[in-house]
Amino acid sequence: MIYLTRRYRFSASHRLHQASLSAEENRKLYGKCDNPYGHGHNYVLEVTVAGEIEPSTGMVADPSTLDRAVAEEILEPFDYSYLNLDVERFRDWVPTTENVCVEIYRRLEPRLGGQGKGARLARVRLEETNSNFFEYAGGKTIEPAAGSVSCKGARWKAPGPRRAAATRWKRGCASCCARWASTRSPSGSRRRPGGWRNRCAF
Amino acid sequence: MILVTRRAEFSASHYFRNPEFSEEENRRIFGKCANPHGHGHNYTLEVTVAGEIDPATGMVMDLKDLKKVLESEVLEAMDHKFLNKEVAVFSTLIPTTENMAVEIWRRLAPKLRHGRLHRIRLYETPDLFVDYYGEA
Repeated sequence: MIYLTRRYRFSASHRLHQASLSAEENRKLYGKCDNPYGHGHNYVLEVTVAGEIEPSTGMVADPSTLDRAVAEEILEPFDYSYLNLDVERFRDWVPTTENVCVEIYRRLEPRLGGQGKGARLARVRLEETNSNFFEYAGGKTIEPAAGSVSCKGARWKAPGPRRAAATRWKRGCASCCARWASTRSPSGSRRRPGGWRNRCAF
Repeated sequence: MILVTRRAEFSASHYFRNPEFSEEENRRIFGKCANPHGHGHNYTLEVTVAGEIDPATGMVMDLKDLKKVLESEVLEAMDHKFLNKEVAVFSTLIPTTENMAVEIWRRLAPKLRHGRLHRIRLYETPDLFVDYYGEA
């Protein structure tokens, strides 16, 4: 599985305001962003697709297909627009960058479902300013877990006497120790599978 | 578990052509990238290693080691090179950013003595990058 990301830019204005709240509540909740005239941002959009590399082209997805989908679904309707009025979805849905991010994912997902060998939309990341950005992966976790660290060769070069080995084990690797501590042998005593002399079994 | 990332930059040229495709197909699929004289990029490589902090040193790994491995395995082979002609694997494999990320993973993964390679991120331009987390 490989992930390809492309960056795009659009500029738009919005106002954070909910009709169901009082003027005071809106002001309290959204502050300056509730300005009735709206205000604008230069958004930076990152679109990530995931899939396997197609051997004949060496590519996971055709960037021009991606560009076309993003241009038609996002840039044309959003760029130089007032999101609250010009984008139908945001007439009754507050266009916070969180909501804009989710809406972008919703629009792109059907367009990026079947590129190459099953490349699919994996993530949308939207920067509102240099200081804040939002990421959405359709409710899924974005990045593969880093997993446990292999202890191979790390700290147990010489299997010493039982107690010394146990000490090294305990000091060595927090993730392995945590797993070891939750492992019980059939006799009920806590011990590492494979015995003290072996390296990490996980 | 903590992630450590080191960044490196290199410049290289490449072209995208599949010898099994006709000239017209190559042009259609790869566009400007099919120019047989090649074209170049300034690549930015980010190598992320996952590991535990060694209490004795406060480090996951010595970043100097990572820098050395990066230089010997990647930069020496690819910096200021015409990838299709000068890096053996790319004489038969199209040096797209995707394939380069996988190749860099293959070169680095066996060389890390501490921690484990978590991610290769390769920027071809500031607006296009690839992430690879290994085969799992």
